[in-house]
Amino acid sequence: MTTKQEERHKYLDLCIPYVFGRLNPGNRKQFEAHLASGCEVCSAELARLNEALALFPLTLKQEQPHRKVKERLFARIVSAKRTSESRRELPRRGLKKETPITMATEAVVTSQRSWFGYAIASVALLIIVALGIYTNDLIITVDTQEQKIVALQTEVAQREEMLKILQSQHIEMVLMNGMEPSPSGYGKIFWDPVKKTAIFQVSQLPMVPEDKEYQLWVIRKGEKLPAGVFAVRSEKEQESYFKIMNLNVESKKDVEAFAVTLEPKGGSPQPTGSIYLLGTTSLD
Amino acid sequence: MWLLALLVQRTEQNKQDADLLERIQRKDQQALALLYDRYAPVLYPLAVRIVATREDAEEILQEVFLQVWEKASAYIPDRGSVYSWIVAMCRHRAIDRLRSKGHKKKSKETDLEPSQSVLHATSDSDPHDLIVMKGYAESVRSALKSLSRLEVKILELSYYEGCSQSEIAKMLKMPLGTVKTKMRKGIQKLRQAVGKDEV
Ligand SMILES: [Zn+2]
Repeated sequence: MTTKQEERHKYLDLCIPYVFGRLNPGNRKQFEAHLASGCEVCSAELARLNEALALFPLTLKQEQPHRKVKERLFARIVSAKRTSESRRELPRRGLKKETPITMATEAVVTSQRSWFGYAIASVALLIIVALGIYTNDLIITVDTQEQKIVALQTEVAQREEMLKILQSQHIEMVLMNGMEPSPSGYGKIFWDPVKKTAIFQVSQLPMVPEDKEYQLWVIRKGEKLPAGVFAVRSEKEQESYFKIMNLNVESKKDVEAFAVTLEPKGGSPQPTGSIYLLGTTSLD
Repeated sequence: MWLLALLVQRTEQNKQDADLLERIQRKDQQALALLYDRYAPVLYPLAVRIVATREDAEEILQEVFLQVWEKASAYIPDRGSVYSWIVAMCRHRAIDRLRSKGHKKKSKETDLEPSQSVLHATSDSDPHDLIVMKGYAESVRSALKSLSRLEVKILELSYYEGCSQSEIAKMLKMPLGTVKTKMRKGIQKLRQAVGKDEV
């Protein structure tokens, strides 16, 4: 396999020590400069060596590392991403100032080293995965005159807010099912009853015309309380995440149901249109 | 002919890996998760073999994939497959840790017995084996049988213990030239095992 020409190539001998990481710094520098000059002989030899040596660990008995390793890895990625992006991206529209994002970020990052931090981050990650938040570029919508419901436009913002809620001691969650006009639609609300903030996810709701919006309702003691409006105007927006501020619901027992109806743009004081999503608390 | 089938399968796999890397560059976490699932079962035992503790190995595994996540663009296709790139990264990190911890492992015995793990691995296929690169793993294992004990030992010392060729020569009390030749032969046999003699 070695041609005469290759044999004369003086760098070829350095390939093996190089892939093993055993060239002294002087030789390594020289060899790397040689590679950078575009030597195809050495480059090909390196590829062959790398390929062959990568086979060697295949002789070991394969073993899946513990699940938590992967969870930690992704927790690290999420938190690294948040620290790097929170500075430039987080002063985004819509989010209220009294919920400073950076505090939560730091809290997670500084506690990260501890087991507890890992645990929180892992659990949060699992839930985020379970909610299918990995869909990219989530989206825009709307806020009401009351600013009660705000679209979480970036993945970072979504994770941020989810982590904050997931870190609280009590989390409540209600699933919402698609009704007659949109049987394949569904939604989830989970919230921190103490801080009264919630994440609201909607999926596969039909797009609505310009003059319409969806409205979220909290049904408590037979009363239907408006909790914000949002729109689905593009395919992208069919998978959306919102933050609901001041969700005045202490616990599931407090409410009978959450509902989403279609209303004229801006919302109605009381529901007038069909129910698209309904999640009752008594059922779960 | 089954070697050819392996090669085709391998090429296909590398294409998929390269696609995953591209998605990872665009910060697609799902792609990273897929790559992790695909190779962790090989990388993890590799790290354990080198650093000897599961804790260290788990940390290394995370570091490797963090590096993939952050530096996916550093992969140079001309230097080998995505798999070989990741394996090399993992090995480098593990060896670094081995050195920084100064815990030169006890397994530095200079006898020519290959280590238990290889003996175990070369024995016939284990029903509990995961199936990462299964075909390859099988043919590499049978190829190992064509290596002399000395060749295996030399490869192990350089690959898992990070020894230089001259360290090995000293350790095994043989001329440096012999070590170099044996090593080259050993690697070449590995290559032949999967029909990679000519790329
Ligand atoms: Zn060259």
